Amino acid sequence: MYALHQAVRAIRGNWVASVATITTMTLSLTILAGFSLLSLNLNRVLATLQGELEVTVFLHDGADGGRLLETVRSWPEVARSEYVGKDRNLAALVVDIPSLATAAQLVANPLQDTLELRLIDPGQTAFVRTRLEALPGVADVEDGSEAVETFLAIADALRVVGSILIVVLLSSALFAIVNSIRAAITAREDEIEVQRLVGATQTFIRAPFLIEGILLGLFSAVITLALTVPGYQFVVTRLALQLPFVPFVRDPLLLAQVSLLLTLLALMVGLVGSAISVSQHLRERR
Amino acid sequence: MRFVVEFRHVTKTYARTHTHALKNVDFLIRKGEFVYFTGHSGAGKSTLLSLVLRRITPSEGAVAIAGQDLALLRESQLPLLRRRIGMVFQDHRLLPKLSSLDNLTFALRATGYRGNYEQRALGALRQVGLAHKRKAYPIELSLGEQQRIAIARALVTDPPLLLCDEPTGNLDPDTSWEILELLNDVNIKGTTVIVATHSRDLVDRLKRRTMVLRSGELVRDDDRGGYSL
Repeated sequence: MYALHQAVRAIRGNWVASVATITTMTLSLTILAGFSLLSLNLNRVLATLQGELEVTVFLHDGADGGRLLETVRSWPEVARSEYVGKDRNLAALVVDIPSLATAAQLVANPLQDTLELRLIDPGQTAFVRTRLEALPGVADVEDGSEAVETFLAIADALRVVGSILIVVLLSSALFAIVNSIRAAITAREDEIEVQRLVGATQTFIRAPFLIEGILLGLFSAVITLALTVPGYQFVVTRLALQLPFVPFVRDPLLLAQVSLLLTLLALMVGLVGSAISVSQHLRERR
Repeated sequence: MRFVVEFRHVTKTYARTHTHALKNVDFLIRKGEFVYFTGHSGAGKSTLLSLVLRRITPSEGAVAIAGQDLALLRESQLPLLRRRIGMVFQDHRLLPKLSSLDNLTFALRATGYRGNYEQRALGALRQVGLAHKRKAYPIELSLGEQQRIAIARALVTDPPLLLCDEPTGNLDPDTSWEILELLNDVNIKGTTVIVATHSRDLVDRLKRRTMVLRSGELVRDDDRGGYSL
């Protein structure tokens, strides 16, 4: 309790340094939170895309669709499979593009019979495609893997940029804490000297500074969440109206987890930063 | 334990400046003694006190307090050693933003004292005759009063050993004598007192065992007291 009281006193007494530290940390954490939410949304879009990925197998005229269907159903990678005759394919096309209805009556059906497959793991698409192409009666295989690969590449790039950004931002937050605690130690040098002389333990001397670091982290996290959570909800609500097909992350539990992680990260940065400062500047010289 | 402080062939060299602060210093101080260490500035008096507090360690030889070799003390045991040693400085080192009473309770709190801080601190202030100044801040006190408060702070944890580094260095002769009388009273009540001073008057006025240091060497150890370098 005494250490907490001392920590609060130090934050108030050294308020310029404290405000500077909290501002730096809040900025870093806000950018970090923004990146995390962006990454979460991108992953969600990717997962949805992958989940909806279908493999279409075009068959030669006269190919035995029933037998081929039996063959692919026996493969462990296949979750669902369906035979679609060329008449059904044409009907579906006409539903999508009604202007083709007249043309469809004038010429013979140019479409092919197909097999529609959905895989258990979309990551197996390339492997399954190779197997399908080797089957007799298969004319062509189409899948949406190119679009997914583009998304995956974007997500990977984002992950790399995010990781670099996390290191840079957390380092700046850490140094802000280190400096703030160093200033607090310098301001209380006389007190520390007296404490040492009368026989205070290292824990007693160090505790207020460690608590100060944790408090600075906590204040920064609270401000960050106060800015980020309503800000994100506002942006997502607006975007969802414009882009209704994008599955934005709005799950309160998931957002609570992100908030909790961010708070723990801020507390950790506060504790580690103050521990570094304390170990550097409160070492007894001999 | 018969000997409170033991120095066995202690040499202290500051490696960075190649200064030999103490050279082969050897002495014993018994429980309840009042001892002066005298000598000119730079003779090694402050180094000697720092060794007793284990703020520094000897380059050669050994220092023991109450039979405990300080070289064998772990870092975590240092606070326990220092709780048994009161320390008074020439510049008193009171905390300017705390009242007299709070300067004492601050020290008590730091040592993990579990009783009533204020009562104990007030007792120490009474011991130095300044209970009526408990609410005064250091700046509101005379130099002599500040030094008395510093002595009260050193005594508030009831240490068996009191170290004073030039306790009258900033004081006029009359106030210096008052401080010395106070230290003598403390000694009479059983506390071992070690005073490092270069004040000839002080040593000659209250004659006690005197050890004279010259350029780091212990050149005289006289039970009859008196300055005479």
